[in-house]
Amino acid sequence: MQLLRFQLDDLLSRMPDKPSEQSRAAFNAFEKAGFPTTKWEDWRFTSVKLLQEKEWRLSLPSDLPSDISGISTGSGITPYSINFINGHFQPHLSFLPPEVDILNFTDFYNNNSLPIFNVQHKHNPFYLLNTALFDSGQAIIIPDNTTIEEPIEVNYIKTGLTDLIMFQPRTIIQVGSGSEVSIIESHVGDNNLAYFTNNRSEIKVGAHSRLNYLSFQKDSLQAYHIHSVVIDQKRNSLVSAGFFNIGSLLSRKNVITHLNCEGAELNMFGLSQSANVQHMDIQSIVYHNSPNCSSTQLFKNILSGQSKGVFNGRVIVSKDAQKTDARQSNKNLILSENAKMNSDPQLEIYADDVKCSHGSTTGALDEEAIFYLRSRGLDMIEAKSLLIDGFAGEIMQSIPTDDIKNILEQKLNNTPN
Amino acid sequence: MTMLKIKNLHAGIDGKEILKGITLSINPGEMHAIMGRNGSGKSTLANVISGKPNYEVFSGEVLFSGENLLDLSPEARSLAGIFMSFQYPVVIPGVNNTYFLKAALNAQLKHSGKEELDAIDFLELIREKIKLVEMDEKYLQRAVNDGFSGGEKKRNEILQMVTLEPTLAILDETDSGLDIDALKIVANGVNNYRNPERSFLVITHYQRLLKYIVPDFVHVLIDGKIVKSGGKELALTLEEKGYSWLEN
Repeated sequence: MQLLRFQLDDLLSRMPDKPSEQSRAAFNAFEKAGFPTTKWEDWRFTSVKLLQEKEWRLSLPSDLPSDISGISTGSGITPYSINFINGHFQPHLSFLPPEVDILNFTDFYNNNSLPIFNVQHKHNPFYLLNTALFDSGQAIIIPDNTTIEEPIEVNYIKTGLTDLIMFQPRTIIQVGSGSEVSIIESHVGDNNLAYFTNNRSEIKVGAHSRLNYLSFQKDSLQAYHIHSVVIDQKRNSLVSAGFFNIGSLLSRKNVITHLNCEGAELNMFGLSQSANVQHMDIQSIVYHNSPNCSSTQLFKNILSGQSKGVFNGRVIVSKDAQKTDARQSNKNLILSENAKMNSDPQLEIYADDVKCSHGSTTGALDEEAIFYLRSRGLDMIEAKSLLIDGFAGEIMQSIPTDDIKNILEQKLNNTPN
Repeated sequence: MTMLKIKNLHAGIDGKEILKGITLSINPGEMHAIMGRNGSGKSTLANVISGKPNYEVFSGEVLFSGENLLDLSPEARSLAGIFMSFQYPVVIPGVNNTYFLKAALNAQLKHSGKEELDAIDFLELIREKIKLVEMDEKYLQRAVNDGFSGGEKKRNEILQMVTLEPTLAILDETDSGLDIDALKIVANGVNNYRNPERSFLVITHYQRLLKYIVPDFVHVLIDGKIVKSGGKELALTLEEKGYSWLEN
């Protein structure tokens, strides 16, 4: 804690624009809450002990490699990307359509006075830590009635680190009314680098707007990746939100969606693939606070080696949220005897006229299906890989546009690890 | 040469003997029907020939074109030319039916040293094949058997058969779950596929399929043994008299 406080003091002296009062208040709240332990209900299956024991420091400008020209940033599929290397924004490598504003976090803070304590502290001390220490990130602001045809990539790249570095980036996405945009937020790092990235994404989608959001994580297999995402949807907005987790030693996603106005629609999906001793945790809460909203959630894990997966999903339908249509599903495929999945889908319904369903399945590859494929001439390896691809395929089919699918495939194939 | 030669086969599952000494020979071009009640061992015989794991062979021999079949993996049996139409075709969510059919055909082509088909050539081929089973092309774009009715699943099996062109096709209760129209279509698919080199082993509970697919030989299986063999007229006798006159 003392080391972290020292990092805060150092950060505030380096960045005089960062609002110090809020930062200190957030840090005090974090200190009071402490790092979560496995005694906390939402952290029963995920221990951050190893993360907590390491002595992390924030990234300094000197942590940027001297030559960044060879570092691959965007996929090249879209002209638009914002790039951060080792926590430092690279304006010369970033290109946005002229209609879109980007603000650095201090400008954004000063102009909009974001509410910073809008989640229960107890549930997410990492959010408080990010509020205290966030030192990089951009606000992407899509004005009203604006359609951005090509996707925007936000890339957080970690490369060539020599110390134990922590990153505290914040990505803010604000979509005005009647607008449409696709944003892919990607976190990648050289394999075998140990770092801690504590990310926060704040997403607001205005009335009658459409956002296709995709979060891609292929951090180093030695890295700790924590990501809190909050989505706030206005009237008749449509959000597609995808979460792909491939990398990191420990990955924890907290996704909270507020359907606060009538007619909002959310389609959420995710695929986490883990091997060896990786740990992949997804926590999702969808608040249905208004009538006539719909949400679907489909999260899948594919686990091999001794890896572990956690899914904890809650749908909370308030008493005024009549005609809610909420579906939640978690399906997990276990490929080895030593892999383990904990799945806990929950529904809390306080309205009486709703359609809600949830379910969870965890199992090995279907032996009947393997035999079926083999009886058609496919060998054991082909049969299994076809079935694994098929299991993942349902998630790939949830991706709303071909551009996003192509960018995802490029990132799956071309990033390190 | 005899295509399939089964000699005194004893086999079962979980240590339990279900087939109690089956002897059967099938020559090229012949259509054989195996009839029997539920639990008589019909499906066990089909599963043992196609190599389903968990089935155990206690003794006896199964030769396919003179080669010991029991040593081969299920995929090797398929590549050697054996095809089984499943009694309960498996649903494979997320795997596109066309992709699956293409992978299966290309495995066969590769095995026989022929050039594999690309997506365009395969689509052309499968559009011809699908007409033979009068199946809607929309089923090509769905996941394998996912959301298919019972009849559509069975047609999809026959579609696989006519695509892979096996030398021995085993139809395990292909008639169950079919209405009469679907039954006729499936039977047509099979009849159009008969030729002097291709043999069939049709496993069925009822005589009705054999009205449309006329067998050369009918064998009656009771309690894991073939108790009677005869020509196509034996199926009619069974319809009339049932199975009890053959017991004991």
